[in-house]
Amino acid sequence: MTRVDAPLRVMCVDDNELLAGALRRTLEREPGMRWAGFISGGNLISARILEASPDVVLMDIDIPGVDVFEQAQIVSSCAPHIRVLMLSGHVLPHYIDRALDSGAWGYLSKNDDVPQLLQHIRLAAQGQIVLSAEAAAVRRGLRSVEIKPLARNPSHPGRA
Amino acid sequence: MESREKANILLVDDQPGKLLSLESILQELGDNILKAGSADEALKELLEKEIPVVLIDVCMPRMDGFELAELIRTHPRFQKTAIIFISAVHLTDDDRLRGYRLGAVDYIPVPIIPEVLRAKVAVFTELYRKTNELERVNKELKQRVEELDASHERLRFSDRMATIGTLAAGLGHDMGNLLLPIRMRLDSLSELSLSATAREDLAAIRKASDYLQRLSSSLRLLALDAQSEENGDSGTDLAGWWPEAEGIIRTCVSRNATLTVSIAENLEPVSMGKASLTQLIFNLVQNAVDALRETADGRISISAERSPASAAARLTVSDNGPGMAEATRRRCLEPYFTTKTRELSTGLGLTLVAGLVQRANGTVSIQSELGKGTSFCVDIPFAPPPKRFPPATGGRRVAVVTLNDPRFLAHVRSVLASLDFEVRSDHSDEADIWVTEARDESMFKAAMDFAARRPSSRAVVFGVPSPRMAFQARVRCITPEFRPSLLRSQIQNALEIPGPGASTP
Repeated sequence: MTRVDAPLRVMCVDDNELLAGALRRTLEREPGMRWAGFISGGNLISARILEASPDVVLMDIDIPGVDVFEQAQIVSSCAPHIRVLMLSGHVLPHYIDRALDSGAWGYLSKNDDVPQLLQHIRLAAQGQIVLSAEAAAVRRGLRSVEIKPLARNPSHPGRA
Repeated sequence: MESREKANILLVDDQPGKLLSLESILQELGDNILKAGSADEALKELLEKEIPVVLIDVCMPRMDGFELAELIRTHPRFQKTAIIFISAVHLTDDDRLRGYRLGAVDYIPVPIIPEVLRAKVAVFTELYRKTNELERVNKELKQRVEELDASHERLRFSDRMATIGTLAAGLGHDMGNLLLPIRMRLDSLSELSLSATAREDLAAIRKASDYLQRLSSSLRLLALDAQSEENGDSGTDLAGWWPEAEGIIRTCVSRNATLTVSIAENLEPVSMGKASLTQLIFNLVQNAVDALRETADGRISISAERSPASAAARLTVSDNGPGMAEATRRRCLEPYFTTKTRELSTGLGLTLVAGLVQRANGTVSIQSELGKGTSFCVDIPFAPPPKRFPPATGGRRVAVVTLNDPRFLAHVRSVLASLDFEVRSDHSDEADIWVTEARDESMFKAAMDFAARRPSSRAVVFGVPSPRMAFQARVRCITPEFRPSLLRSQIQNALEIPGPGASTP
């Protein structure tokens, strides 16, 4: 767990550079947070995240040519202390489920207010699962969801 | 094979005895035999019934067979009627020729050979049946072609609807993607010490971006597949929904119309999802806008209030347009029914409204008066109060969660909080349930001890050390497969909390 006084190092994975740039500006002026860089795509996303070892990663869902769920899965099983949060414009039940099953600590919407987004980053770092209001509503309303088998088997958490 | 169609065969003869003998010969064919004792009777039968074959005796008093045949042939309806003359006299070639000239198709001399007569008549009844069948097939074919055309048309429109939906979703998504950086940059800028003009500019930009933000979220609401939407646990709060949907609904109101909105306060949430609600009102407003095309001072009003009829909210969308005729009012909810040209309308808008309302167990009623306007009144039942474990009598239930893995722990806490439990990490006497894991028997025994404290106490245990332990009434075991997407329904099942996941379709 992060030391109380150390700033949270937040990384961004998004192919939209406008967003990355704006997020950087926002995080740099936010007390207690630090920009830990951004990755716009490519197959080595998980390796680069593991190398940078941030506290929180904000990850977009649709990055061309990349299975972000698989990348999140690798990060969460190799480095459980890195908290991956999906940040997407699509708030769809099966995406939320896949994200959480892949080891993500939350699902945030690009339509959320910025202060709420920052608050969710903090809460996830403190050990809470965070769902934006939209995502929470979508998730509660589910009747049944088709869940695709994961690429890797999550180990039994009790023994982790 | 189904029974073949019977043809009418008309026998015309002034002598009843001859009629009888003809009848007995032809009976074998299995067709309907009609008898006429005179030309007058024959004409009467011909006018009343459809008769493909007529057998006429040439020699009859008053009007003879030739005259009758001539009369029959002059009538357009009988151009194709087969006329067969039967005669013992007039057997010269001239007579035959005369007969043929008058439209006879055959000339049968007496004495009659029954087989020959039957064979000849059968040719014409068979021809008649074949012609009829051909006509039927033809008609059916025509109908099929029409059906095909109609379904092509429908396909084209549903395609267009789907395209519009995809477009709206994509547009809403991309707008949201760009608006987030814009909002972040605006936040950064607002922290700088700016001149009064710059602050004014900033405020104006923020206002515009807020508007676009609302538009983007309502675009996405509009595009969501309302048919698969659930209303969640608690239904939709109308006062909270309106600001989200307002952007898109206002965009469809044209300049010559004004929109007024009044949403009553303190209405209970309704049992319809946000996307459905948006699509419902959007379509009703769209319909009102179309109705007001020719009206100079168009007014549309949306109101939400408590329904006087039942435990429901009444949403009313009214316009002061030309109103609907009774026939239109009755049919307007039918699929593809429209009074507009196809370029303007798919005829599906109000059908969608009816479908959404029906799914929510609501009702639609339409008041319309020509020259005054139209009101659509939709009653949507209030959502049932959220289900709690067990039905809360006083205060929130307390859950204690002790799990090793931090992510697992976080998920369990998140699910319990969403089920309205107060979640703690330390044991206390107030705890109603304990969620833990049982790696060995002693851990399981501890769970049993906890559950035995009060009748309402429950322990939820991940993992079962031995199968015989799985049958403790107050200790609910969950197989230790950690899938966050399944966790909510696992815990709901273990605690027997009814929820959307528990109901059977």
